[in-house]
Amino acid sequence: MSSSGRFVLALFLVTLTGFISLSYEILWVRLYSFVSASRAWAFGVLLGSYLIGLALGSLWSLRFQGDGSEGRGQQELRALAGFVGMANGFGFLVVPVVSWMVVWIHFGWTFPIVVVAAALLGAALPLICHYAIPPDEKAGARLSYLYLGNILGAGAGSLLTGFVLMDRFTIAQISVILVVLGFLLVFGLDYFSGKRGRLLAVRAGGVVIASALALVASGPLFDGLYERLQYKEDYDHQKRFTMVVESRFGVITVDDDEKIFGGGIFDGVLTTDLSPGSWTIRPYFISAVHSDPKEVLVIGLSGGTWTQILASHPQVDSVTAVEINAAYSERIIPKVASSKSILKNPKVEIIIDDGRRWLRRNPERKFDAVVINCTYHWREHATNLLSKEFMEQIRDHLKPGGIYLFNATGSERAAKTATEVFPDTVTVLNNVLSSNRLLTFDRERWRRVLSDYRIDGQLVFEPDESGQIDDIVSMIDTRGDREIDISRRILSRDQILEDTKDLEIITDDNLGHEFESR
Amino acid sequence: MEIALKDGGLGLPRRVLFCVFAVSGVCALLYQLVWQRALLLIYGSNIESVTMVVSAFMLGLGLGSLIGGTISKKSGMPLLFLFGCVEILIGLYGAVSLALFSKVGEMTGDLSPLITGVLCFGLVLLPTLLMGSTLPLLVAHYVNSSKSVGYSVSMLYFVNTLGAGIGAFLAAFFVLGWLGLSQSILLAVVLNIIAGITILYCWKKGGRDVK
Repeated sequence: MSSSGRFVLALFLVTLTGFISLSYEILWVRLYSFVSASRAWAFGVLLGSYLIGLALGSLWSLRFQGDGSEGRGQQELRALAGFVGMANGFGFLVVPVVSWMVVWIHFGWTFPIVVVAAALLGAALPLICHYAIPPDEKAGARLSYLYLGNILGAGAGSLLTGFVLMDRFTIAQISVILVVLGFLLVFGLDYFSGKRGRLLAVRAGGVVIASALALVASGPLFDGLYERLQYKEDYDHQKRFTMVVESRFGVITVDDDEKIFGGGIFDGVLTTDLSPGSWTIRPYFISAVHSDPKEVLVIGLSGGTWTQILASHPQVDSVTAVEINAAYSERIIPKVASSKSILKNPKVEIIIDDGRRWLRRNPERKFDAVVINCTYHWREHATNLLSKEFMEQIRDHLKPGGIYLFNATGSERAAKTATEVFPDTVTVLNNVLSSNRLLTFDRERWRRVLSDYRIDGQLVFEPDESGQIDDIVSMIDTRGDREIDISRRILSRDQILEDTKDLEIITDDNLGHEFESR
Repeated sequence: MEIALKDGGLGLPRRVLFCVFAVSGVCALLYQLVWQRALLLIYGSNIESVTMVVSAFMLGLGLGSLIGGTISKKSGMPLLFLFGCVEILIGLYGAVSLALFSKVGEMTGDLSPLITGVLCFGLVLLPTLLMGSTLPLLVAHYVNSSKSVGYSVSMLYFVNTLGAGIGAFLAAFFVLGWLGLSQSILLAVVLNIIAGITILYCWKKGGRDVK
């Protein structure tokens, strides 16, 4: 092959290997994001493992680079075919193998698998460069074209796999697509490395058999994948989720106890039922402190139960619900009996957007209550919803006397942050409740509202269940009692400040709790 | 010239070049993690914004590679000197980056997703162009002494990517948690400038006669 033909082939190869490498990385990001429940450090460790693997692969490739003598190029192509073949086989197995390993060991011990897989992928670029670029004064320029091709291929992987394939196919199907693509590339490399006749036919047969095997094996290999990744050592091979929704936004699962999980971590219970001691009390609590909540903003729709409770409030006229993940409203809520009616409720407006961005773009919108059932405070990007800067945004969107109720998932730092932003703050169970005025508690008003509460036309409490209402509203009388069960605990601003005097508030810059769990 | 002769025309001890390029990788990863985070805070952390920011990074790196490659073709170019300057320029941009992002974000946060993507690209264009140019510049320089493209690419890609990998581990376990966003950037700035000054010192001391 002429040197220009060799260079064109090299451009094609670096682009395709860049695409395959980054596509696998996207699958592994999803894998580790799910298994770690989006712990911030896990992404850094995955990225580090992937990059160190690429680096080692680059070094490893030195052993397979020809010396420029007779047959120049064939050796690199054969080595490349070997690396691509192994990298694909290995890359395909990473997701299911890790899912089985985490049943027995902590997921942190599985990162070396990523290093090995990335090393196999990382050998490609140097081998191709050695194959196509002569060591002359234009070496840097020629490298730049190949490097650009590699980056464009990787960029295409980010867009096509991360944005399109992830929205249409499962992780098992995408794995099969990638492994077949990789095996086809192996066949192409065999052809260009000079294999012909019977040898080439054998390789073609091998590619077809390997692809068919991957397709057939993907069924049992990926069966129960998300159950293993989520339950880990508690995995029961007979237990399966009732719903698994994979989309470009992430993975949502629902179990047979009507618990919903976003990205591998508990997101809520798909029920609006309220009883004494139930944690569902939190969205119902707004009437204990607000006399007339007409306009409510919900950030984070999830399974829609909190939005359903708030939209069913007898005094509420409108609920604006902003959700970043469209899969909840498009694919989960229509199947959830307790909340699906919000999709047709004229009082509810659902907006797919980032909460902070929506607030910034709608400075004129003011609310009587803003309610957020935030995710766990230690998850990646949780700071965005717990920081001082975000709370200041919320404060600017409250009407006079407006309240802000958010799930701090027990973060004392988040509670302290709220005390710095709002004139009054209390904690209610594991939530924080703030207002731009002093909070006043009204037990009788709350009792009346709970008596009138209807969801989908059904009373939350039947007339003969008034004793339960009395029990629930009596939690107001025990506020300040640290010893009472957390399901009824209300602590004052002074108590929060006393408990958090040595703690730092959360800001966008210090990243809150995100890297504490390392 | 003494160093140049000792290192087969490389212009500086090989281990110094490798260390500096590894440090450059550490800094690049710190910048990427912090800038991505800062841009997502400004423009939203939905999947569309994430894709735009990542794509902007990649496009910048790719175009930077082309520029580095084009410069490296010109005979007589002081490649080592240019590499040192690039590292310092990246550090200088890093020093003003978060303030710049914040200012631009204040003025443009409510624009359409397409314009947002263009702005993200614009904000990371200069530093990623600079980062992307370093590998072709150094490969062109290193091939002069190694006489092997595969070896040059393998070794330089190895140390730079290893540095980036180490940077990711450092960020995950120590830097981001201990220093936060702005102090992490400051650390990267300091490392970048030290790296650049080291290269310029070596170039001035012995490598200026080596192209």
